[in-house]
Amino acid sequence: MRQRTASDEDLPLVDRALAGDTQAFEDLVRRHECRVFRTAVGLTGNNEDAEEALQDTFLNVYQHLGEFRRDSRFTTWLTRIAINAALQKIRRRKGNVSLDDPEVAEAEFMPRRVESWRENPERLYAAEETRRLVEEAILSLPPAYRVVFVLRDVAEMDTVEAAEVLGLTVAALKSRLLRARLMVREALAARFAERPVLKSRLVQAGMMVKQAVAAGLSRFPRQNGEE
Amino acid sequence: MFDCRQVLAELSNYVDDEVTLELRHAIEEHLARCGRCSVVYDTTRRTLKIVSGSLPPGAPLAVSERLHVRLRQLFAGGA
Ligand SMILES: [Zn+2]
Repeated sequence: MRQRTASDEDLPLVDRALAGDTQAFEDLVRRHECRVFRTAVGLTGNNEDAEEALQDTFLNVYQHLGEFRRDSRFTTWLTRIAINAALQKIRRRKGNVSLDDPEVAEAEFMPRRVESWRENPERLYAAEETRRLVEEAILSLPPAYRVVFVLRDVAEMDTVEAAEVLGLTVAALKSRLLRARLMVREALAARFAERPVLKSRLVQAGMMVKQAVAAGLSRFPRQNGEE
Repeated sequence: MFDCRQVLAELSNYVDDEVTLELRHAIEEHLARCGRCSVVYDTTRRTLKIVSGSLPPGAPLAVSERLHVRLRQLFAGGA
């Protein structure tokens, strides 16, 4: 295991918090609450569960700070607690959730939709709608993949630390990350690719034709076929 | 010459700029002549941008305030 504790900039605050300085503990919380919240949103897919997980995480950290072994970074330890807190929220809704590799068959993540996307496809939707699409895409991942995706691409943790948090080798983490990214891409492609938009335009055009027909404006002699 | 399967295997590392210069050249040479892989690469890159941009950057203010209220209760000896 790597030794990076020498460069762990959280340790001074941890020491002061352990000595009873609650302001130092709050500073530590403020430093990390955004990343913990984002991790929890990514894992649970909603603000309410994420908020509960956020509170549980820091209450737990406060109560167990003395058990933090300095053989890992503080953030590594913190993130493990945050993941467990979020998993508890998921389990409450969905039953047992395991982070073991579910052995996703290769066909599950091979790219199927290979149409190019529109420029800024997310602007087709309201911000709230895009967020929901993204959350659903992440939630559709098996938990073992979701957690890797969330640590790397939502919480923006580096590869080495994310591997350490999850007890995976860097190679295993990277392999899951690739699959997770491809699966999220696939889920979003259903909404952002050119084709569905084109289709909806055709539907729109079809409706205009129907309206024109209904208004008796059509110059075409044959109108059957269109229903 | 890299084939589609090899490019796909390195796609994530390439997006993260975690490939050697040699590998980068091999991938880019393939992307230039393979429409399918270049779409997969482009849309994967954009997927990550959209994901990152559409989730809340952090805890909303009210969420953060409730957290700190709860912590102060804890410090004061409450549950
Ligand atoms: Zn190719």
